[in-house]
Amino acid sequence: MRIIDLLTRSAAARPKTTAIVDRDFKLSYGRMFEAVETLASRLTAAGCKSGVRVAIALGNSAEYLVSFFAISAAGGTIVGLSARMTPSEVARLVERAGVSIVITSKAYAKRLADSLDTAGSITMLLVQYETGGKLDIEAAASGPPRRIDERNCDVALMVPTSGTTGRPKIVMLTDNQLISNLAVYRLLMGFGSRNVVYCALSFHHIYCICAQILTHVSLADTFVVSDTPFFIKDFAKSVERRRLTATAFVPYMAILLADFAEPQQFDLKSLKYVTLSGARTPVSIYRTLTNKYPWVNFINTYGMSEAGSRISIASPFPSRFPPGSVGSPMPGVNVKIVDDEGTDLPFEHRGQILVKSSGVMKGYYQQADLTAQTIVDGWLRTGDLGKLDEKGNLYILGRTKDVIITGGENVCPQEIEESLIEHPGISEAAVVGQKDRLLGEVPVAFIVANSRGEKLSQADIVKFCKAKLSSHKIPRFIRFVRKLPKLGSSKIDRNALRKMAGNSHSLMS
Amino acid sequence: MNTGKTEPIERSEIIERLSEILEPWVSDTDSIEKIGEHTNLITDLGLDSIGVLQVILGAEKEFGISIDEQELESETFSLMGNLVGIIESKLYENN
Repeated sequence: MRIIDLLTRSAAARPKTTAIVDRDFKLSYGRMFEAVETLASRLTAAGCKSGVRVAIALGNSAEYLVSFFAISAAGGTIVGLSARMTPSEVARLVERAGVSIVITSKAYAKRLADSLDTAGSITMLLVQYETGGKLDIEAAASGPPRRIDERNCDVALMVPTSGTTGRPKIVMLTDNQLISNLAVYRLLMGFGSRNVVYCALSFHHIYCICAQILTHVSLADTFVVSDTPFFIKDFAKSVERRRLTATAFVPYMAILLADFAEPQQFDLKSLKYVTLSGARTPVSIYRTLTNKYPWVNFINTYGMSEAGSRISIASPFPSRFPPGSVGSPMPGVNVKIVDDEGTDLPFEHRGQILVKSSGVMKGYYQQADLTAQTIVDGWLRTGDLGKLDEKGNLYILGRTKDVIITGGENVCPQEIEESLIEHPGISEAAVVGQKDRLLGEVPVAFIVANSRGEKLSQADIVKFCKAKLSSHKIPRFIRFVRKLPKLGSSKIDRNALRKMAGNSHSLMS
Repeated sequence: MNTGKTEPIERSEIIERLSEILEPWVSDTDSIEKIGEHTNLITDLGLDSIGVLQVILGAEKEFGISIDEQELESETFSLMGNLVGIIESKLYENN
């Protein structure tokens, strides 16, 4: 079964059901399927077939969802990007992932023009729904597809995940890996029929792709798409106006909902399912949510790009799970906890979480060594620290890697460091996460300036970063130091920096 | 900088100071130069969720006020003129 088959079935069964509400524009499953077929034939004409990679650089929109399924229909590999990324990030990933075709909007194509060399090698399709509901497709650049990478023709989706600038990690997932436990997930969530689903997460996140796009397309549910920043009042209005039943949140959205002072001003009673993932939602916030909105099922779940579909879920009957846990492993997913030597640990012992399932990725693109270090004897080393209790509930307790999770986005500190040291006035840079109540963590940069950087200000550095990095990767705090703490001769002592970060002063002050 | 609540600040000055706060979080440099009352922070400047939180934090520090995120929604927040209005109301609410 392929991704496109999920839509084909739903469109055949429920052609008249509304698939997408994007601002005031509505699209039925029948019309969505027609648009997917139209775009798929344009992609085929542009050379898309098995093994050809097609990137989507759009914001959350009806056009994004149509493009997602059209690439699958044309037999290509989806490379999920976002218009929230900077043009230089998109260009880098297009190059890195060997993308032949980019689907984007007119506005973003204009911004992309300076970063992406479209001369002869990239085909660019600009898609936009016109007022009458017709999908307008315009070819802005065309080039022959790159040579097919025969070994990876079975890859349905490539997901960039945190990594360094030079070698961003790109997770490869096949159709089976993505769909493997979709049916079980639906069953455990207990989704009834006719859900109205609010999409606040960016469509390129694996959490959104599995827990929302694939799941709810397979149920022929209605998506309410939002490309605006997340405001809790917008969400409450949307629940009332659209009779929303389900959504997926990362912790800062859950915190805003828990803090929401005026829920009684809105009719939120239609809301039944809110999944919580992306990072650990604080237990106090979880308790507030369940007390304040007792009619809603708040469901902790755990997943990561490398594991494909979901790993664990605190459902059915979320109240039966300890609030600090992310539930129990899904049927078909094996989880174990190991120590530094790889030895299995008993219940209640803290160690690295390992996962084995049919959803685990095929590997990282063009990083065979890293793949071999990450998947050992079929077990995916998640890099997350956790424990299992004697009932089999899984708890996330930290990370073995340096990854910073800010607002549900994973950020590799080395990527920020590499961007910083490109500045001629900076000789060394190190980035760590600092705790933040709302976003979980925010990146903090420690900078050693050289003689050319004597007059560098925090604002100069932020300006320099913004051309290269998405906003969530720009250091929120910057500290100038004479030297960086090191372990031995070269390795940066990140623990020492994390302690120092506690005293950072805000950029805004 | 913390500003006293009794001294009125011109709207144009608020816009100017907000532009400086916004600049790091806006990827399109050209658009920052054209900021005015009618600039849409979301569609014209492309501010995302984290950008919004940063700008709120920045405005709070710059003007010595407290903005409750819960009061905000995309319709009222998105226009520069509206954000200026929110800041003015906070600056003078105790007068």
